[in-house]
Amino acid sequence: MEAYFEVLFFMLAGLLFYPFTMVLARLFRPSSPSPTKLENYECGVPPIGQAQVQFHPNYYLLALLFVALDVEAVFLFPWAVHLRELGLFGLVEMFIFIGIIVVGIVYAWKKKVIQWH
Amino acid sequence: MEYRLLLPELVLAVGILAIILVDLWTAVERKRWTAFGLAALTFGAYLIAVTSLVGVKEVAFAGHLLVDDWSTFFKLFFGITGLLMLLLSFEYVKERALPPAEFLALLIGAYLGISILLGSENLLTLYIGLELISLTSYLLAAFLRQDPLSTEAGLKYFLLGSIASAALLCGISFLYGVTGSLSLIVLAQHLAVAQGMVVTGTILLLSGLLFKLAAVPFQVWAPDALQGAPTPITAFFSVGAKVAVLAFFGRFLALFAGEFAQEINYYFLLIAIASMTIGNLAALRQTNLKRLMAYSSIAHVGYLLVAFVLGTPAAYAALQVYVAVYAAANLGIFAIILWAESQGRGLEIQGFQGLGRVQPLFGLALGVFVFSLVGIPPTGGFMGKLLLFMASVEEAHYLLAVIMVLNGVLSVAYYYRMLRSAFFEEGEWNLQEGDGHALGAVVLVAVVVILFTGVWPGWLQGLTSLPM
Repeated sequence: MEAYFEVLFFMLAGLLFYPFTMVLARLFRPSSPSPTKLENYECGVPPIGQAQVQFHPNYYLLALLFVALDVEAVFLFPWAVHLRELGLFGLVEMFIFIGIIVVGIVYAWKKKVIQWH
Repeated sequence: MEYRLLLPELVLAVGILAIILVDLWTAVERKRWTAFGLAALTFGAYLIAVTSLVGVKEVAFAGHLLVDDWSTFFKLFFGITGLLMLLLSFEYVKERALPPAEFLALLIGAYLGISILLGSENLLTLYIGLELISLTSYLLAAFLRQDPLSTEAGLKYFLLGSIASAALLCGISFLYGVTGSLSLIVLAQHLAVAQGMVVTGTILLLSGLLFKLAAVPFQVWAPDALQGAPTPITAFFSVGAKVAVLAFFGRFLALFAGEFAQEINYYFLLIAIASMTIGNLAALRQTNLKRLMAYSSIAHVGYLLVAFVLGTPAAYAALQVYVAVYAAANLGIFAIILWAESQGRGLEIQGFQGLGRVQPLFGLALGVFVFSLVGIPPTGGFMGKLLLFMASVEEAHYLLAVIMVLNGVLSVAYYYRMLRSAFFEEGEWNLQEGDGHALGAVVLVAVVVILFTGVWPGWLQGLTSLPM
């Protein structure tokens, strides 16, 4: 059974990590509650009304589109840093990748996702 | 060039993009023909690309992709089932007014995942392939958006599938933590020692994979997902991801050695026996054809896992025969189910009533498929079972052989109900206009494959050593 001690250790460490950090933070942080801290943060604008309202489903589709562009950006940054080493091959490969993502955006465009009904 | 080895996958990827893009500028009435034509071209090109790799044995992309006879055989297999899938869904897409381009893009996406999975020589590639299959499968299961059963199927499959993926990833992270590598070749050196972390990681990884196979005790999702999904997709689920994972097992389990290998073998023995017995017992009480086929596929997975318990070359050869024949019989039966469904006969087993009289050829074909699934000569199913049986007797697994035979007898009971319905009971049929040519073609191909394999199973092994 000793062979499984490591597994047990992992499980316990995983379980205890969260309570441990919370208790530790509680011990060390200063406590000064104020009503402002309890407000929802919405880009600095004071929130109006309830947060649980019905959203237009178009938000969901736009969010999906945003993810497509976001993922593209995540890959573009490291690529741009190493472009010199990657050379022409890297350049072509990245344009293929961008092309695939553009297909997704063109698809959404033609299906009138970007238009606001 | 390394890219030559990736050609089959590239073909599929280009096919997906082409189908989606071309569909955007196609008039509504030509959408279905265009999308299916492009998909057929894609699978045709895929088959050509795979045949150009026959006999190649190479590892590429820093040990991520492997091309060998084993993966090429299954890629050929999937290229052909892909074409059959197109025939199966051609009329269905029209009847249910499904968007053809999206349907096919997702289906080919699943095939792309399968192809990646087959060639994976690294756990990361394995995960990408498996996840591509899963995500497209969830969507395809829920493709009948107006049908609550279909939505339920998609949701159940998604929720349970995510847990399985989590277990798989957890297992992979354990293995990586111990070995410091995700490459199967490096892992193999560590898999001889039954060390705690390695065992836990391996079992989590195998559980995630066995979930995709719907092997007992990971089978709970299968009946609901297969019943609710659109019927062509049910056919795909019963052969697609399952066969791909089985093919990967063929590669993965060969890595184990020593004491740990015996331990893993023992687990697989238990899972194989449990799958075939529980699958067959549960199928006895089913009245819905799709549920019945779901349980039947659980039972067949049990038989197929026997090949890994034995692990001999003879067993692997038997697996190839069994898989091909099983897929042919399954796709054939689903073609007939689809035809009955399109005639408004419903999906209960009574839907087959009188089939032998109104459509004798389909009735006869149903007989061939059922005989093959049970394992009665001269069908290919008999050959598959016989080869597996002989392989297990050779390895002195007598009890296993007896259990396999008993299960074969058990399965007669529920397969027979289909035949009884088709031949010995009367039913009202109002034959409607509409050509069943596409479905008839699937049935024909399936019958030919089954009967031909029943006579000469050797042609399947010959596929991967063709002189090109």
